Amino acid sequence: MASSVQELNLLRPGHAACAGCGLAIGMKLVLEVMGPRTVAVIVPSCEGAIGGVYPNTSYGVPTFHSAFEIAAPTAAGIANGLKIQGRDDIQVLAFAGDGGTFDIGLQSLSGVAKNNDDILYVCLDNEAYMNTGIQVSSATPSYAWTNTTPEGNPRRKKNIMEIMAAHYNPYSATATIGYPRDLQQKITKAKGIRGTKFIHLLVPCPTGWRTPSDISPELSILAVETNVFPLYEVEEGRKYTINHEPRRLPVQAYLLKQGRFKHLGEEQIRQVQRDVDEEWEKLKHRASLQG
Amino acid sequence: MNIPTDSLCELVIPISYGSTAVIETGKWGFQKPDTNLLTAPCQEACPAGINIPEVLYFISEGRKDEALFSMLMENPFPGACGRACFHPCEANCIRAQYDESVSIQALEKYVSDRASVQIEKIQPIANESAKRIAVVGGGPSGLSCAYFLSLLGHRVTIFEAKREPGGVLRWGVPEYRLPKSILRKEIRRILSLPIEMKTGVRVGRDIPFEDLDHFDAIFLSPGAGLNPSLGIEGEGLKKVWKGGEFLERINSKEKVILGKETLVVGGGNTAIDVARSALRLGSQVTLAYRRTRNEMPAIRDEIHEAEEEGVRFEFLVQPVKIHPGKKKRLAVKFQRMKLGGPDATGRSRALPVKGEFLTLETDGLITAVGERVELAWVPKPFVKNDLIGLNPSPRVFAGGDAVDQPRTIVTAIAAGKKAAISMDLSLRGNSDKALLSRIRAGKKGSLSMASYLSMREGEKWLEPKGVATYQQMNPIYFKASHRVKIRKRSRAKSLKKFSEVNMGLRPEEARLSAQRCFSCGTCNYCYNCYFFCPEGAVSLDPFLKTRTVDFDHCKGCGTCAKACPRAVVEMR
Repeated sequence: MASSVQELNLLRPGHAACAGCGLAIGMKLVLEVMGPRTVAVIVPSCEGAIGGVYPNTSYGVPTFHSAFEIAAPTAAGIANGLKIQGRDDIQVLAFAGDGGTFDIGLQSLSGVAKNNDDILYVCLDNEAYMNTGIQVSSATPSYAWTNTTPEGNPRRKKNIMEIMAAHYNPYSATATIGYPRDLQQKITKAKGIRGTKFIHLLVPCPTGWRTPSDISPELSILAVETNVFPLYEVEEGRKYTINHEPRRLPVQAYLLKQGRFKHLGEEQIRQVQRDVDEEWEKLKHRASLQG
Repeated sequence: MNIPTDSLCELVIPISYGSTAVIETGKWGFQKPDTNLLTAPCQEACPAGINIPEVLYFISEGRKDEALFSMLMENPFPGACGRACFHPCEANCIRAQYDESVSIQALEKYVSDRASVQIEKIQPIANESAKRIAVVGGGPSGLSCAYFLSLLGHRVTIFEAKREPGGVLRWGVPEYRLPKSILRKEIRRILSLPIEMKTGVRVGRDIPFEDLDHFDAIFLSPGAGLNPSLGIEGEGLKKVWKGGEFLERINSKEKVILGKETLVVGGGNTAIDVARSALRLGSQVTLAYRRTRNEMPAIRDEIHEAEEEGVRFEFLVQPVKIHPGKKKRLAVKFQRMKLGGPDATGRSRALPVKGEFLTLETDGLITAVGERVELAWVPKPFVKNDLIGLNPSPRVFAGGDAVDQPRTIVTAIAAGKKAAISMDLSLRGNSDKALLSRIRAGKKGSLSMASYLSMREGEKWLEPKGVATYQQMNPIYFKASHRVKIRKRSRAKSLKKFSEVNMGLRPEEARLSAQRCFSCGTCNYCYNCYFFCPEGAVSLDPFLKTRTVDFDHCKGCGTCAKACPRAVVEMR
């Protein structure tokens, strides 16, 4: 029996996400702020699987299921269509995974950001192609196990925020489910800005990260507190703001909780720590420039 | 499900109109979350059993009147305890294992100063079988017993020997620690309940004890008003006072003139109160104690404040003789002491060092070495080891400093409450001892009046399942922070007058301090379980105090239980 609170849920219960899915938490938190006057675009990925089987859907807002590589242009098309109809109070939201953003959809996203079409693009980053069975993507962190990198990923994670900042789009931000208030504030801020807004949302995946089903929020907090995933925002590609001062825990606190990193040796952990520290210094420097 | 077919789109693209809510994903899981309630260690440690997590939750939400109401449910003296209690709650605060304990006492004072509860709200419950009960002694214990009995619908008469009620709070604790205006306010609040107060009536002197026989039950809380002597030579000299009498004269606003230097003997709260009062009368004060600072029974903060104000300490000395000195001064001869093995109470014994003495000259000597109970008026069978027995006859109960328990204000209040509940049970013919253990807050013996009232009204209430521990908390959700430093009146200003030293928390400081509470084992609506449920199956209502889970869709992932920082959610 659904209570009145659940009827307001724009991600309806009964969806097909795995138990403890961080992505479902992320979509729920985003949709809660977006509200019912929203059109969403999803692509073939976990979002599609979570969406349910015809004729039922878990999305409480009108949602268009597009092709994998074109989340951004589909959303931009809908946004422009609505604009021509004069219905500019409706926000258009694109959900795509890290594969659909970092790899396959990068070119089309770049085109939309260049045109500055009025959409909110949320990249639900679970750091691999989880829906198809855990294959490596360019968002997979270094040394992480996936089915296609059984010895650990030899490459570093792509810095998507820098790519977006290079488009000088009005607003890009990182967020994660462990800080729901920070995430919802960023969505609220993005709603008030016209143009291409980008949210890089880290969503732990119990299935692909090889973790218990109950620690997704905790992992996401550890990612921030170890500086692996700092919370910050970039405005107009220039003004960097760090939103959360991390506790600077050692990266082990984050890595060793996950099965996909359990094979890491000491030298590899040291390397991850060096990379994290270097990125943090770079970020702090950019934030100190104040655009 | 009604699928519209007039849409052109439909011909090209299939559209889902139904909701996945029809799919019962709850069948996937093999465990479900359940709401837990644990007693917080602070509440367990508080003899009065105040529901501290609930009080602090209300303060952090700015609902201070509700916070005061919650405190008044368990303790009629939040203003006095917010100042003069030895706050065992803070010593047991779980947050101390993470960074620093929560400022519970300062928050209690804040609420009692800033909030007001409509007296109509603490109306006594209707009781058709109301009984008449006599309370002997209007100190904290007697007033507490009368307050709770009255809330339970009984008719109470208090017999108070002095001209005003309040006991040690009125005549012992000095103004700078507990302003008498605060005490009067709290006593007025208690006496606004239907309680008959007879002041100036000493049982055994003004009326015989047998006169109490026509009451259905009696509560004895005469306190420990007698000051024992040191039993040494020269005690009868002029300028040698007893601590209790000295404090009573100050609290009666009598003029007390001290010399330039004063010597205080003792290590308890009375000794510290005497020393700091003597400072305020313009004297230089030295406090002599036979053990060391660590063994002093006085409240730590009070010792610290006394030292800051300029009290000098002389440890490991015991007076053996007082004789007149030069220029009308006194010369006090002390035996030097050393610490020995622990005694029965676990404190180190003080043993004399043979042949080593110290003589101090002073203008006055005040002794504060414990209190004794006046027992001449009490029927012999009720007396045990120079004290009154806790429950010496089926209809006679006792509490406060006159019985065998720690002599603190809050234990006295707790004894009054326990007696009130026991009397209510026995007067209603209920002799089920197990009932008392069901309304316990933790294992240290404090009772919850809120639970008792729920039980008495036949309501169901959530019984706590044990006491919370630090290992059950999830500290990743807390940010390390410091206690707020409480503003104190400057030394120069506080020494001029008897005005209150501790200036209390500002509203913003109080909110931040209350937010530091882990709220161990009690839901404080942080919404973690709501935010982090991937199914959107959890809903919370802070006003109805409910937390419901949609079990048709809960997949049993356990995220809510793990994300609850205070162990309120548990997977079953």
